[in-house]
Amino acid sequence: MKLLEYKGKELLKKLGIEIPKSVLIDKDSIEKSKEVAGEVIVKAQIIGGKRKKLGLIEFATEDVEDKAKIILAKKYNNLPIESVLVEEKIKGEEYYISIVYDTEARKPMIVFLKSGGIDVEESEEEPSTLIVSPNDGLSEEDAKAFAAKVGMDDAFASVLVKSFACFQEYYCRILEINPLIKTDKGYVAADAKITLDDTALKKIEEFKDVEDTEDKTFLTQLELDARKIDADDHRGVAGKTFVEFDGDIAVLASGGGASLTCMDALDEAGGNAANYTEYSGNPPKEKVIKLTEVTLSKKGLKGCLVIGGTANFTDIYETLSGFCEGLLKVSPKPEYPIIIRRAGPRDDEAKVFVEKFGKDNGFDITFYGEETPMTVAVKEMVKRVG
Amino acid sequence: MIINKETKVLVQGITGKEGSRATKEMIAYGTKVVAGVTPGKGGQEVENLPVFNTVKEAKEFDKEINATVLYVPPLFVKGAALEAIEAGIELIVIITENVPVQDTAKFVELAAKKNIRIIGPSSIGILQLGECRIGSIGGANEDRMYSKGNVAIVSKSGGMCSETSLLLTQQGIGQSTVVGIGGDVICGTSFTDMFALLEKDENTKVIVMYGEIGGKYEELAAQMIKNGDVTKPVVAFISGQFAQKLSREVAMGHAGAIIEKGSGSAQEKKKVLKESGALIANYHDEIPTLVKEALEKNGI
Repeated sequence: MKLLEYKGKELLKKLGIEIPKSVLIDKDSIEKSKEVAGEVIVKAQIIGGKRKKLGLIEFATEDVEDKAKIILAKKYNNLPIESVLVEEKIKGEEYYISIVYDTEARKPMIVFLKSGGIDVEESEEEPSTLIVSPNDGLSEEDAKAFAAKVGMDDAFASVLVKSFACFQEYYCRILEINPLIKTDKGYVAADAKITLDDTALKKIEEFKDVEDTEDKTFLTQLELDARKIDADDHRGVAGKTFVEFDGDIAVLASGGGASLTCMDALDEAGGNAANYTEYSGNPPKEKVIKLTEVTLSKKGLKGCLVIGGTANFTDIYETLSGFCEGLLKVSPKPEYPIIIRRAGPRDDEAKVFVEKFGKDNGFDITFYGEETPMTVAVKEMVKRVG
Repeated sequence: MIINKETKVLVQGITGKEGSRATKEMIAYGTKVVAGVTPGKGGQEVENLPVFNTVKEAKEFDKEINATVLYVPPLFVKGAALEAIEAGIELIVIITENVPVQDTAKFVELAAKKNIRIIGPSSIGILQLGECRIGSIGGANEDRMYSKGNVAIVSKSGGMCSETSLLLTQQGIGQSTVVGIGGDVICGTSFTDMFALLEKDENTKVIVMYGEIGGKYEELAAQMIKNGDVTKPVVAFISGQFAQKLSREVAMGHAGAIIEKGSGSAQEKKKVLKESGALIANYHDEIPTLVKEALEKNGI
């Protein structure tokens, strides 16, 4: 789960890292912006980068309320901006630090750049890194040695120790402070980008009740409709993952690795997916009916691919009869080719049923089983769509 | 190899639905499953095997236990793994998905200090054809997909262990060792760890790897091939060129860009693997053709 800047800063503060004086306001509490005097920065609280370049960060002195109102009136990815952070402006040398997991060392790693700030990605500077034992943590001594090596002082080492403690305490996947500013009074974290490990939220008191960590900023209506299928019925999975694209081949896939392998093949063969969605874990027929309806409600489709590997438990007959029932509900009636490649429990019965269903109801359906590799079926789909 | 006919297996989380089902399937394959552990359920039996409260008790019951498989809920994995490490069990296979990365980092570090091998988390298991099977690999009827031969499969995706084996089996190519290493950020056994073992394994002539986007494990595998530390032919399939489009992760900070510097993508992984000398399957169904090519080229 990605945290908004102000929330990330709260966590840093709990571990003893200095953050600028600030106040969080929304459209009903704009007058509270007066609580921070002098030169301030007004920052939209959104998940995502490039705020400065999008005009979602403004400097202000007297006109704080106006600037806040302007930002609050803007949108980010078609969704309103709900809050802004009004924060005292901090001046000084800007540094960059982050903590992530290094796959090679299989341990946390501290990354440091001497030149922090918004253009850090374009920086030519080679990052300095320090691998830290997840069991022993970062000792004051090791932090000081690293700080000295990169030309920083003991106060900086202390920030590293506190940052690492925060990284561990809150099960962070990524903790980034950019910039970390050196002032007369010490180091101040002027921004915070923290991603928590979704799998560990239940271990953290203040996040243990968070159920849904998905950022809804980007979802289309079709995507929201598909997610609703799973939200309303917890048996099996159908629609929880649904991503809409610009293409013309509708996809209903099964099994994580298998579905991605097939999507890769579709891409490689020059096909254009209209969506990506998955059903698995033996969902009841009703959920497959709904997912079929939602998926095929998209306009301009030229083909439909129902694809998956060899299922262990998912009842192929049950789920495919759900797909067929869903087909009957789609309007206008799909005239485009439909290719199914499925194997697993009751796949023989499913084949007989689907082929008869297609003939009786005038659908162009081809059924492939285990004998046909998944990606061969995908290439066939692309060929048929042309 | 890592497991054989003599491997004695413990099942942690044996009384759960997945744990008991896997136990039944492992026994059916001929694996020597000797006991199970579920805290608070000591004294019960599953598939006529004794259930203990702790790994220590199980180890006292049978001192020869040298492998354990974990079917415990995500937040209990760390505790279960530490127990197994403490008891000195040489192989720990973790099937559970969604294990917090910090937990994995901790027990992987401790296991390494004691020379204990961890496979997973998010592993489907490991199968040594004709000898032993640990985990859920193959499901209830593994003979539908797997056949004995001399091609090893190392896969991040569990489901694709079966699909890849099926493709090979349909072309008359059998497998030696098939292992799901899991696709987590930190995995106990990586591609390179497996390659080192398979290089020395006389039953394996060709290695098939199924990689995914993210992390550096595939790049490290390429480096190993390039260095000549693995001389057996490697056929590689990298999934996720599509997933990159699928991900709408807006740039959240710069950490990824600074550290990965463009690596981690499917294209980059394919490129470095190709340069290292691996045979690249652009479609999954090309794998058997490339394996045949590799076998012929090496006169096998």
